[in-house]
Amino acid sequence: MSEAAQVLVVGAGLAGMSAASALADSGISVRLIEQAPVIGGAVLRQALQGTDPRLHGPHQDYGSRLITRMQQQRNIQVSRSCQFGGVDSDGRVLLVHSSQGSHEMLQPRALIVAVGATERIRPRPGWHLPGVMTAGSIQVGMKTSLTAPPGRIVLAGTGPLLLAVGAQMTRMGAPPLAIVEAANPLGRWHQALRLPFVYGLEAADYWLTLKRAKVPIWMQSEVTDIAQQEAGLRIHVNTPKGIRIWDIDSLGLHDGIFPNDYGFSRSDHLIWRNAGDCHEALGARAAAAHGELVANEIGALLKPGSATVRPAALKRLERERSAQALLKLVYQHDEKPMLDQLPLHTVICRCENRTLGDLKALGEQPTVREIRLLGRFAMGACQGRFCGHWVQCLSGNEKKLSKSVLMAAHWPSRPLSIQGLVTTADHLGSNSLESVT
Amino acid sequence: MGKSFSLEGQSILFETSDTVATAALRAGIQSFGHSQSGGQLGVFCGIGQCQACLIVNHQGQVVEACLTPCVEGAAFSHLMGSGGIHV
Repeated sequence: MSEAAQVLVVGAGLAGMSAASALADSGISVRLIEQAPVIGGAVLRQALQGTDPRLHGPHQDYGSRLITRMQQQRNIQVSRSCQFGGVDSDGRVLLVHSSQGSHEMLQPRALIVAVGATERIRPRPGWHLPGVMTAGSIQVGMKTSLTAPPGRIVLAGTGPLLLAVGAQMTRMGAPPLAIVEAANPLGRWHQALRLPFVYGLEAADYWLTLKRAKVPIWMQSEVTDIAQQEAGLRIHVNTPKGIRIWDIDSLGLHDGIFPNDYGFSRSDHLIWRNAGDCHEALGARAAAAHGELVANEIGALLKPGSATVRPAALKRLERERSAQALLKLVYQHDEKPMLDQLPLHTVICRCENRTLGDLKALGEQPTVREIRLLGRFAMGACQGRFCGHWVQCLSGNEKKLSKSVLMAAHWPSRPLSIQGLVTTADHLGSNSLESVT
Repeated sequence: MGKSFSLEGQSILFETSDTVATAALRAGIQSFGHSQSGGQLGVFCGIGQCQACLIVNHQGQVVEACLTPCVEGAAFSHLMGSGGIHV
């Protein structure tokens, strides 16, 4: 088994990096793993080579300072292209170096999971087709490759990320054909005025960039159908002025974010905390603050007396929590009618290709066992991240289906090679069992 | 002539900072074949969560195209393709 750092941090985004850095400040050794070949997470994703300051928006300065500080701290070991495979019942953590096909076992004293948010994507007819992706995917693609996304693109769904991605595409010289927003944020300007000043500044910047490039922004509008054409996609958009039809190459969807806390079975043998968006989806500004607070809590447990009170981080977290609640109000809209109108052929589980019709065929108020074992919902490779919530909403049994049971955690949480596992087990040998206690 | 790799036998040019996903999309390749259960594969979440862009590298490892940097001359196949997994 590898020489264990005291704390393993999973995810080198804002929360993970700030947690690692704060722990290292207290003299605690940290192993920080990141599944991407570069650090930064979704917000500060670094390019594979080179840099473009236009892409990280208001988080650029803070992010660069954090990355520089972390690189100077000797007791942080960073592993890139390294994935979290799961934790066994004895608290041993499996790491997967996927491109090399090798695995590694660790036994840290504490684990901080900082794997960010999952984009909330409401199913629409045709959302399973190639060419349909998340708006966040388009954004991360730009940040990683430093090139504009190709072809005719429409961004649709709801929330400020659509404006951010649209503005970033515009600055890269490839503005979207249109932005389709389900809510009417302008109609709630009086609530928007209560947002922190930096939020208003950021929104105004995106808005002006899009308006200067003459990108149409359709409010109270909705993509109702996506169909594959010989070349590209044809989308139907329901707008206040009637149905519009666009032929496009790609569609970027986004309907908010969820905490990415799927697929983790806890162990009593190690201290475990979730940090940042995977604890509570409050966005970039809160993630760094929460990472610091979690590090502080773990520091106090591992090294009593080492932790310093961090009132600034606490204050920031509170401020972001109320700002996010306000944003939710500004973007409030009723999505139930859109779910009610979904045709039965709509794919709900993208992994297993299961439709709304398949879900309805399970009868009224199906049990979790029926949904999973007969229906094959929330059973695919994404661990129910992209269908679980909607299966809950659409099954007619929302109140009785607990999310934790519907999306029960089973590890490993990744496709692993048997060969790699065998090699890892050989490395463990018999001594490893003694080290558990 | 730029640098290239192949996906299911098709040659794809890439830029220095591309992942397999961004290079394939720029080349107009959106479909990465099908999964075992018939689901259509292609880039979706872009950050390694959805597992919809799984491909197989020359060592037979299943990897996410969105997390895999391009390497000159590398050969990838579809999950259920020529060099992929067989069930």
